[in-house]
Amino acid sequence: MRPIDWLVLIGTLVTIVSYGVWKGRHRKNLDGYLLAGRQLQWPTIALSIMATQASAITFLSTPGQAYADGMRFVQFYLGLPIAMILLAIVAVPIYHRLKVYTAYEYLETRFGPKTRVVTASLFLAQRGVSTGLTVYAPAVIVSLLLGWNIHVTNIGIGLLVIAITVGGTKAVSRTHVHQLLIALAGMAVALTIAIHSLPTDVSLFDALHVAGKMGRLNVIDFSFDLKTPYNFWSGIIGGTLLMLSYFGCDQSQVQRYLTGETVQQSRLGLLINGMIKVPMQFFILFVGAMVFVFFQFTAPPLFFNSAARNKVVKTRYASQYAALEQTHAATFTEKRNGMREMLAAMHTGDGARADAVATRVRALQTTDANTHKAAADLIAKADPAADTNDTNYVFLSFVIGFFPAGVVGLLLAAIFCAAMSATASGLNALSSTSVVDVYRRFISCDANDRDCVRMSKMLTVFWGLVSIGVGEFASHVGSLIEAVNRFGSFFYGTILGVFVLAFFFSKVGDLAAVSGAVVGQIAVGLCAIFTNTAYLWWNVVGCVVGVVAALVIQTFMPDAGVADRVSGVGASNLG
Amino acid sequence: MSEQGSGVGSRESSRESGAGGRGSEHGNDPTTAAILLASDKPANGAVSAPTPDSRLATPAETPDPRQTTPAEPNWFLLYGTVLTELVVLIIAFYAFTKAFA
Repeated sequence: MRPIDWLVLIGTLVTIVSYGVWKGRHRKNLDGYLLAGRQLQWPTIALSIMATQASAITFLSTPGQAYADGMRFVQFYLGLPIAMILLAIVAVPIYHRLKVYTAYEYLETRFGPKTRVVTASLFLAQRGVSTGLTVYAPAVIVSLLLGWNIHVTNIGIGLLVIAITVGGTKAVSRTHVHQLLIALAGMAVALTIAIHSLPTDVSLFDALHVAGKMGRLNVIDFSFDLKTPYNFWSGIIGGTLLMLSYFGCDQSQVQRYLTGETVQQSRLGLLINGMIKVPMQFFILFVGAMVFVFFQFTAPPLFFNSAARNKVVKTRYASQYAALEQTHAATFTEKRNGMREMLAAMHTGDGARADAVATRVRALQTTDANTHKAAADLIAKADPAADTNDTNYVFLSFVIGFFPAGVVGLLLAAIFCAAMSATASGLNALSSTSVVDVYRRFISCDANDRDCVRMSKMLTVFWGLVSIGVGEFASHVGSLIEAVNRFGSFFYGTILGVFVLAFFFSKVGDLAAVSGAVVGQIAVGLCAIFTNTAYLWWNVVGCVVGVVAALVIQTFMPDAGVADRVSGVGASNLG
Repeated sequence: MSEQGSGVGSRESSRESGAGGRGSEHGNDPTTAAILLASDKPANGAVSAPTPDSRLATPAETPDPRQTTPAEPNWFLLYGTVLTELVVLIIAFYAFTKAFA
């Protein structure tokens, strides 16, 4: 890090945090503190929704995902626009009319306290851990690559987020706008530099062909396979249910569009998100694909986690690692020559020869992948605690190694902004749910607004410290973006099932809904432990099993719970 | 237009909601909530109870035809646009995949 990078990084962070603190002053009533006085317009809502979903993991791990596995991860988001439409039609009007603070508050109105407690608890457990991961993810990567202390970095990010979030939802939403714009500007700069860093005789069109021939532009795959994590069908079916659950039942997102001045503003915020999110993810993955092409012509390290590499060369495995590095270097040279031969054949219109060379280069790629795996095994032997998945380190290694002075600071600021935006929403939602669904509901039912706002601030600090604590203990989670999504998918299907019952099945009561949720969660657990089903399908299992189980229980035990507590809520709205 | 109306209700409610008043409004009163949903009215009673602005209004203060309220978007058109964009993106991504494979 050069002085200009520090200047850009610190200047950006100080400006953002100061702006957030300034925006968050003078919030005395609960409506103003938790829902920004329900006065926000759709552009702020849309950007806030996007910033909440786009954490630092998105900007660090997604390009690495494209580098290692290609662009097929974009299919994960194909269900998002469908989910946005369904939520705009069904959920937004109901939440607005009931004027709830949290999604779980609605469930008590519809079912009763048991369902509210179960879903709020699932949310607090799931989001508490996930928010910790969103703090930890950038902290560990940045600290390892820049030689910073991991604990100081983790605590530093956590404290910055707490400073913004204590200001309430308006501060969070307003800073989201700037944070997302900075993060996207950083990625645009990264893409420009990646393309301009290619050899002068390699055009963008050539780069696309290289990425395509090496399987990195595999955006759409229509084959149906339950064990493939990302294909069209898992994205459309599993992805829709996951996004319905995330945006419709996860308070960190629900709170974003509850701030809308009207139903119209909230709906527009969701729909704009539905239109922008898929192209945005394509763009971020494309950056990763171009980084992959860059490293086809510039020698990449054998292992991108430089801290782990530096450790292994100081152990008795150093000579074995050096041998692997020599193999890697020889394979790289042969592969690069093959790439040039392939491009030359394409330029002369010799498609058959280009295909033949591409097949040879892919074989070399497999050889290199095996060398990489051997290096990871060696690193694990030398240091069992080392992170042997270097996917998350690819993009930042590229930034630190090849970006000019000042731009490294901008990219780091972008990553920190993304970390703060997602974490702030998480803390904001954890605090809201704790106050509205636990404190004011069960502990201090007669608490006034001032008490609730004070408690919200205290709980924001509490959950911030919990997140920092989770970050201190998190490690060995592989690809971070996949880890977060897998963890979410474990719970989201079940929670969505409860909301589906609430919206569409007016005869189902409290006990049946809770029992269905328990059965659905057990089914997801069994599915995760005993089958190889890709995690996006867990959402389908949790939702479908939960709904069917609740309907069966309600049919055979019509007196279960407080059936028909609010006949027609939700269903009447759809007519 | 009903959503526009409920939006006005929201603003009034957020201004008027005092300490501790929020929880007792309707959040624990399912019957009220169901009725309000079925009747497509805001839940805070802003329509049945006249707002300060409407109480001040006199017959002479008829709406100025030059003052147009924000137009209600054509939701079906918007939903269709979002879905159409998704279909176009999928087709474009598929063509992109095949073009460089």
